[in-house]
Amino acid sequence: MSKPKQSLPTATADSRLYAIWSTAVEGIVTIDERGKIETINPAGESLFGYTADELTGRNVSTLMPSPYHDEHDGYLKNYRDTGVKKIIGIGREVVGKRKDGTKFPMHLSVSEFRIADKRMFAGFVRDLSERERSEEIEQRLGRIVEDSLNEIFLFDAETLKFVQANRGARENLGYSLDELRGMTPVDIKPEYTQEQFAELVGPLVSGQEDQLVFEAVHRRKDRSLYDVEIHLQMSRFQSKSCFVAIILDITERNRTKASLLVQQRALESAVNGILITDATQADNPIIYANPAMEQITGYSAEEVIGRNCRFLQNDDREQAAIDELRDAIKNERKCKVVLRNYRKDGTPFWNSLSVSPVRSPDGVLTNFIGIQSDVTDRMVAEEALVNMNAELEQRVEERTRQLQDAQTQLVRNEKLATLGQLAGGVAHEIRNPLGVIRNAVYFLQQVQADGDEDAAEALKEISRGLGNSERIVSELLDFARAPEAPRELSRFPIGEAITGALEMVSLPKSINVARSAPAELFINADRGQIERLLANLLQNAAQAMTEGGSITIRCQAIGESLVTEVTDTGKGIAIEDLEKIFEPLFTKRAKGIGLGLSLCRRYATQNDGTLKATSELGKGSTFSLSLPLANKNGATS
Amino acid sequence: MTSETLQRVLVVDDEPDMASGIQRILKLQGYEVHTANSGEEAVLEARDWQPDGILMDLKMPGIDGVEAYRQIRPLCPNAFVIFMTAYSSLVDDARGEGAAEVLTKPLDPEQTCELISQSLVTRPVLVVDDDADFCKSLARALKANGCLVQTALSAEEALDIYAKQPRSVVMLDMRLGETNGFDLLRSLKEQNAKAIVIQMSGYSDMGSQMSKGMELSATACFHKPLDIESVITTVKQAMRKPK
Repeated sequence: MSKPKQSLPTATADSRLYAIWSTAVEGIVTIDERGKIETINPAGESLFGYTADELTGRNVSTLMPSPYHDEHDGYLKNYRDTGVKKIIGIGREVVGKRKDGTKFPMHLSVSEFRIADKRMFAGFVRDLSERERSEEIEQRLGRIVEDSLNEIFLFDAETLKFVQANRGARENLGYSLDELRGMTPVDIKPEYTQEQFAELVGPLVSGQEDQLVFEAVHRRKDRSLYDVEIHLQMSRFQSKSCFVAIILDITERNRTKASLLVQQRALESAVNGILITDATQADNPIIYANPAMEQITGYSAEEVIGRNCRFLQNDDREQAAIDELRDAIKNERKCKVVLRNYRKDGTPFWNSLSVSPVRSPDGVLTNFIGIQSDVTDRMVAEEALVNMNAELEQRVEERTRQLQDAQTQLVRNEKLATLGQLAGGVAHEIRNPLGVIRNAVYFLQQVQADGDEDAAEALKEISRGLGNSERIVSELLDFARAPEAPRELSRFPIGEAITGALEMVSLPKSINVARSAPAELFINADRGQIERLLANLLQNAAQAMTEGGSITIRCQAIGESLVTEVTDTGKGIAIEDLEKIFEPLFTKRAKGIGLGLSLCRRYATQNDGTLKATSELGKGSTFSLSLPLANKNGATS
Repeated sequence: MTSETLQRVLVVDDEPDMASGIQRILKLQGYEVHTANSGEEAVLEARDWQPDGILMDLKMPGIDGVEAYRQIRPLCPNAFVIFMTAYSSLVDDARGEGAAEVLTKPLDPEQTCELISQSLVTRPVLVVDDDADFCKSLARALKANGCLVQTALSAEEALDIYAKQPRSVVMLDMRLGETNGFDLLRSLKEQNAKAIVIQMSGYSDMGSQMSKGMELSATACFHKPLDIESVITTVKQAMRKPK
C-alpha cells in the first residue's frame, strides 16, 4: 500500500498554524482512534529520532516502551468504550522510547478533536530528561548533605533562623529539624549575642569576604558543650540569600592540640637535652633542639639545626661508644651510650646519650630522637672511685705485706726473745758449776806449782776451757740482757775506749796493730758497751787472720760524728753476707755462737750510732762505728 | 800487826762445792776459814766464831745474804763483808748495806784473795765534825792516802752511818756543836764494843774530856790543828788493830 502522506496544514491561513506547529518546542503527534500516527511535527521527529515518513501510519505505541506499549491499545479502547478521560484533557508523566530504543521521561498531554467526523487525538510531548537529570543531581546533593558527617546548616540571611540542618547537625545537637527551624545560630553559641554574631557575619553580608572560618563553642540540647570550627558562606538562590555553615567538631582536634602543646612545653622545659633529627634526609640533620641542649652544650638551637650531631664529638672520634652509636643508627634501633663530647667553648664533658628511632604508622623510619645528659660529675666520681679503689687495694696489699713482715719479725723476735731468755737462764745456771771448777783448778794449780809438768799442762787446758766457756756465757748473757741493760753514760775520749778494748782481747804476736786517733775526740756513751763493742771487732779481726796480718784502728771526726774504723787484712766477707753478719746466730767461724756482731750493732744503736761493714774477699774487711761527737764542753753536738 | 792468831774468814754459799772450793783457796793464803751453807747458819757461826771477814753469797734460799748480814752486823760489828753474786740486780742493795765490795760470780780467785787481804787491813773512816769545811779538808787528805771516807756533821748523822758500818774508824770532834762528843763516843761503844774512835779537839781545855774518852778506850786524841802526817799514821795503825 502506498504510504499515506501527512495531511499537513497548508499554507496561507494555515501558515500561522503551520508555523506554530512546525516550530513548537514540544513534539506534537496526532493519531486516530486506533492509535495510528497521522502526523508528527519536527520537534517530535527529533525527540523520538524518527522522520515523519517512518512514523506516519504506524501505531503510536511504537513510541512507547512496554508496558505502555502493550497497554496503550487497551487505554484507547477503554476510552472509546467508556469515554472516561484518564489522560485526555489532562497531562501525565510517562516514558517514551526513541528510535534507537532508549527511553526518556516525557510529559504527555492529550487532546481530542474531530476532523470530517473522524475522532482524532493530539498528543503534546515534552522531554523531561533535563529536568530529571537536574532533579537527580539535586536529590543526590541533598543526600550527600544530609548524610555528611559534618554538620551542615542553612539559615536565613535576614531572620537568621535555621532553614535546613543535616542529620549530622541534628543528631549532634540533639534538636529536631522543627526545633531548629525556630532557632538561630546564636541559640547554640553560648559565646555570642545577637549583636556579636551580626557583627561577625557582617563581612559576608557586605560581600567583603567570601568565606568566614572561625572557631566557637556549640551547646547541645543537653547543655553539653563542644568545640567547633565553622566555615560560613553566603548563598544566593532565587533572589533569596541564606547562610551556609559547615561545622567541624574539633573537640578531638583540640584535645590533640592541647596534649601536643603540653608535650611541646615538656620538651622545652626538660632538664635533659633533647635533639630530634630528620632521618629521611641525608646525614640525619637536626630539626629540633630544646633549651636544655643549649645549656648543656653551649650551642643554641639555631646553631645546630641542619647539622649532624657528630659535631659535638669534635675530633675525638676514637671512642668505642661512637661505633656502637653509629651501628645503632645504621640499623635503626635504639641505644644508650656515654660519649666524650665538647661544648662550644671547647671544654669536654661526658654525655650520656639515649637514641631512639621514630617511625611513621606504616613502620618507615622518619626521625631519631636523642636525649642528652651531662654525666661528667658522675664519671669523674666513678673514676675517682675506681682510682680510690685501686689505691685502696694497693694500700691494703702494702699494709698486708707490712703486717706480714711485721708478724714474721714479731714471731722471729719472740723466738729470739724466748731463745734469749732461755739462753740467759742456762747461762746463769752454768756459771755456778763453772765457778766451782774454776776455784778447784786454781787451787790445784797453786798446790801443783812444782809438780808434774803434764799435770800442770792439763790444768792449763782446763783453765783455757773454762775461759772459753765463760766467754760464751758472757756473750749469751749480754745478748739476753741487752734490751734492758741500762746505759751508764759518760763522756770519754775514744782513745781510752780503744785502749780498754785492746786490753780485753789477747791478740797473737802475728797480728800487728796500728792506731791513729786524734786525742781530742770525745763521745758521750756507755763506756762499757763501747769497749766491749770494740773488743769484739778486734777479736773478729784477729780470727779472720789466722796466718797473721795487721789491724788498723782509725778515728776521725766527720761532720757531727766520730767515725772509728777497724780494718783487717784477713780473708774478707762475701757481699751477700755483709748484712747477714749482723744477724744473731750467724757465724762462719767454728768457734763462737755468732752473737757478737748483732750485739755490737745493738750497742751502737743504743748509743745513737751506727755500725757498718765493708769488705773485699781475700783483701780484708773494715768495720765502721759512727757515734755522735761530744763537744769539748761536754754537750753532744 | 802483831797477830799470831790467823785471820778468820767465814765463807757463806748455798752451793757446798763453791763454799769449800773458796775455803780451800783461802786456806792456802793462810786464813782460818769456816763455811756456812745458809744465811741462818751464817748468823749462828758469825755470832759464835767472830770472823774478821765474811764472804757472803747474796742469793740463797731462806734469808738472803743482805738479811743475814743485817743480823750478823750487831753481833759482829768489826767484821767486813764481801758479797758475791751472779745477779747484777742485787748489787745496789748490797752496796747500800755497807759492804766492802760486791764481787760478781764467777769469782776470780786471785782477785778475791787480794780483796780479802786488803779488806782485813782497811776500814772505812768516818769523820764527825760540825765544821763542814774541816770535814771536807780532812776527808780529802785521808782519801789521798787511799782511805774510804764518809763525813757526818751531827751526832745523829754519825750514828746513822755507823749503824751500817760499825767497822769504821771514827774521827770524832769532841765538841760537836751543842752536843757533847763524849756522849756520842759512848753511843758508839754501845754499838760496837771494839769501836775505834780517834778523838779530836780544838780546845786545850778539853783535856779532862779527852782523858775520860781514853778510859773508854778511845784510840787516840789529837788537838787541832791536826798534824796530818801523824793523823794518817794513827788511822792506818788503828785499822790494823787486832780484835
